[in-house]
Amino acid sequence: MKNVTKVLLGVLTSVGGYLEVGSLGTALQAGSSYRYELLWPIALGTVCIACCVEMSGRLAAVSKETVYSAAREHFGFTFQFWPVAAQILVDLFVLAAEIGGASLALELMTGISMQLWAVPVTFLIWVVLWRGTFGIIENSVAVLGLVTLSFIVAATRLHPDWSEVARGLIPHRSSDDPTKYAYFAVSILGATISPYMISFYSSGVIEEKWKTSDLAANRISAGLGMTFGSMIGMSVVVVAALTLAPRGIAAHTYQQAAVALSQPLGRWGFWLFCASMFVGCVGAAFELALDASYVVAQTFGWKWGEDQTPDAEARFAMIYTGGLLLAPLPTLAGVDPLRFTMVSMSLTVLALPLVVGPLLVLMNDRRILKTHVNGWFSNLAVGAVILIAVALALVAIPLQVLGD
Amino acid sequence: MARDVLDSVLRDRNGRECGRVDSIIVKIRDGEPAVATEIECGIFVLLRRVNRRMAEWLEAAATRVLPIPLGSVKLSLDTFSHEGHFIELPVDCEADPRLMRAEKWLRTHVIERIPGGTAAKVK
Repeated sequence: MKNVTKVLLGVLTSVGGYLEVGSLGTALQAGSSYRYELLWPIALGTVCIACCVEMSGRLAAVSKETVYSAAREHFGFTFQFWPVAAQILVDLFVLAAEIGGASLALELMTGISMQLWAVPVTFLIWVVLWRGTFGIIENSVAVLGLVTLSFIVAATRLHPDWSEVARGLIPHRSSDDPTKYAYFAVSILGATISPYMISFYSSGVIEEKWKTSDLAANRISAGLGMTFGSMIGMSVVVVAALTLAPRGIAAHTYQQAAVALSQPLGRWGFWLFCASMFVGCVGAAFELALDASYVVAQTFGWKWGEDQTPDAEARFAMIYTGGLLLAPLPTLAGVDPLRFTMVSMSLTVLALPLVVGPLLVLMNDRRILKTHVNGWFSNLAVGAVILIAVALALVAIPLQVLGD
Repeated sequence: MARDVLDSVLRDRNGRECGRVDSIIVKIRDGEPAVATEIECGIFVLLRRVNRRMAEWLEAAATRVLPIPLGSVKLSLDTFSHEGHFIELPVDCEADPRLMRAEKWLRTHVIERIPGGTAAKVK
């Protein structure tokens, strides 16, 4: 019974936390520009991130060490400096994008400029991290995030041609502006295979005190959670393809895309879009700010954990506090959230090989994982993720320049 | 020896994690193998392993600008025991003035001045 609850909560957290500014922005642009043609990067990215997340959870449950802690001991700091630096930079960029997204959602709802919302939104996130436990954050992301299911309801009510949707799941090239198509594909993969999910998940396993006996629960919650989560991402593509594309709305801004749910869900549609965007962005911001603290604390060997009071490990609390002081700056400066999101997703792609590469080595170390090392299938999967990550990193910047 | 100890987590006698072994000081002896004598902990010692010039520049800048004590600390190799991937120190790092100086400074000067900084969290 306890394991069922763990799995359910894990699945709910993955579903509730799946949609955030990156996955929403990239899916809206993909659907409005290429209809169902870019569903396959979501499917491919989901398989990749589910494999990585399962491995990081297994590593933590068996060895009681997180990915970053084990990596520092295994590779030494001279190597580990680069993945850590890349991860923190990406966390900060994506955190800034999430704050921009949440502020924009409030602007859409109230008409008050997002620049005025940036500081209250950041303060709300900080207060929850400062005063709340890991359980509070996990449960609130899981429960409030269910509002994003409105995209699945909307997609179903629009009665898409399911055979056409299924064709979109098969990787293929597009004849219509292939550079932009490739750029969107890379951005979607960057938004789906977020490196922070790997480190955050392994930290969460330690926070939740999972053990070797929880490995089955870990596998199910990683697999099912990410699969159900990806269905929300795919629903956004379908909704954009059926509501924005026919009207020639290319979703260059979130303001243009906000009408996506109005057709299938009526007057509630607009509010549900804004609520989904706000909740998704704030939920991801909790995880990103915490992730920066986790990564730094684990690398430097500090006592870490969201359940401890801030004074128990001042440096841990200061890392997310410092990150939250910097993150609202792009929004305050009036930077367009969607543009910033797309740049952040390209940066995420660049950091990916540095974060995923060491995981393959760690997952085959019997001193750390004993009998729970990777089998051939897991090695094949993470090997494929690394190849994809390297390929994406090589093309991310040229496509960012050419595709924009 | 150095490979076993370097980058391991330091834990005090109360089980509190208080950093990692960031560097090892080795004594060179004529005609005899080099011997590790001390471990060193500190952010700039650590950064020196990535790029010495960058570490020295950052240390000089931080010493001038930041009020937080960030200097390194050396501990004798004779004082600790090696337990799994932990190095056990026979001291209380909260009471030992050499250890966790930045942590204690931040706690006193920043965290304790913010409401809720010392209060139990809402569950």
